[in-house]
Amino acid sequence: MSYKPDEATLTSYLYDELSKEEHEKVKAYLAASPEAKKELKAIQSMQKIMGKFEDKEVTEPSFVFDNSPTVVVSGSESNNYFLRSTIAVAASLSLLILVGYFTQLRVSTGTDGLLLSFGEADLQESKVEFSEENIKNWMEETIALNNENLLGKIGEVESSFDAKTKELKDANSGTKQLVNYKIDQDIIEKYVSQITQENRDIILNLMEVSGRSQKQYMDDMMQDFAKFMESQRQNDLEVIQGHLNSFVSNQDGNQTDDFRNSE
Amino acid sequence: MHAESLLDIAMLHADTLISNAQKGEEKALNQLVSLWYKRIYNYVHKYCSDDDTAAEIAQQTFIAMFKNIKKLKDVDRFKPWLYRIATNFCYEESRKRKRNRTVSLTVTRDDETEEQIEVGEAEGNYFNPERSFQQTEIEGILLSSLGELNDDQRTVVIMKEYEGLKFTEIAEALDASENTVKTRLYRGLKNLKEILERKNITRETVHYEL
Repeated sequence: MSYKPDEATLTSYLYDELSKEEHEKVKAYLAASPEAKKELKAIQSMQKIMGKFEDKEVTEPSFVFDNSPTVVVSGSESNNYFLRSTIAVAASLSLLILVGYFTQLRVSTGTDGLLLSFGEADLQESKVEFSEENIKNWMEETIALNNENLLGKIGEVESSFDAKTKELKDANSGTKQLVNYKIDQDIIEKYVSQITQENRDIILNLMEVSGRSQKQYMDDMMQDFAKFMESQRQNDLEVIQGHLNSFVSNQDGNQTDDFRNSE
Repeated sequence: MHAESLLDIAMLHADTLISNAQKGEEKALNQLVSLWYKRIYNYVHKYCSDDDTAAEIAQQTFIAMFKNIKKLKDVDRFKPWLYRIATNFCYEESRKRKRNRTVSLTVTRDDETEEQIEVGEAEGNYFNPERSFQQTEIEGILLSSLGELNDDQRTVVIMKEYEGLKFTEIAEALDASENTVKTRLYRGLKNLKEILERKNITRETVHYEL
């Protein structure tokens, strides 16, 4: 079979837009060509899958334009665009006027040009002439004032300097006195002997107090020891006495037994 | 259904509406927007796979329509004329993206899917979250697959399959011959079939899921 439809014809076949004659020819071709038939069927299946894509629901925006459609403004709330713009401009102007009123804004023009001011006008126009003589006088006055201030400051510095100098002199003389002071050897010896004497007295007192308390302690200890020995001796004597008594009684008992036995 | 009825009205009254719009009647222009906004938005959305870009291009399309509607000589050609404007903006956007090497906006589909599921879960007992998820998933795959086609094939496929334009209208919108449009469409559908097969999306798997 020599007939082979082109892609455009196959598309027309898919959308059933061929004439009856052409449709039959393509049909015959597909019957003879399983590959082409399979491909076309796959495309038709896919077209059904494509049909599963649903449209998105959308809300169209509103458009506003003036009498000439060449100027277009789009937006969701643009119907009142011009009204809103006018109100916005009017509101801005009102706000400016209000602010100007409260801040007492003043606009004036004078020889110096346009003047903007807030609050009460306090404009003093300078009417002084800038002549050579005036300028010279101002300069002299300024220089004289400056000199006066300068002299005053120099005087202050001088007095301050004098005071400082005097203070330093006094301090210097004190230092010299300290330097000229000679240490007296006798005073030192006297001071040392005094300390030695004091130390000796302290040690003697300490020895005396210590010896006294030690002697007292020894006396007490000897007395206690003597008492202890006395009590110990007394106890020993009592024990000996006890033993002797028991010995004597035992001896008497034995003699009586001997006597009875002899009888 | 609502969209179809609006389109029917548009078809019935298109001549009068367009004539009035050409005279600068605000009402007629806004009616044209009401009738065509959803179609143009969805056309652009399928082309660029992004909500914000779709809204922006749809808006630009209608602004261009307002500015140029007086130049439209034959009111019968309004539909391909409007799609032509939208397509030009789509091509411009496509060129911008290629120039700027931006990340594909289809990447955000996953996030959108999650959001839609969350919203759906609160809708009530009649809502089937699993089915909604699969539907959204298939739509996402179809969008990304369309995005893999070249600009010419994608435009023709969307215009024919989703917008239902006639071959003559597509040819006029794209300033090409009908034969060229048909050839592009066949190649586009064939490529799309291969892309979907590669992603394991066949009629059988889709029926199993849905």
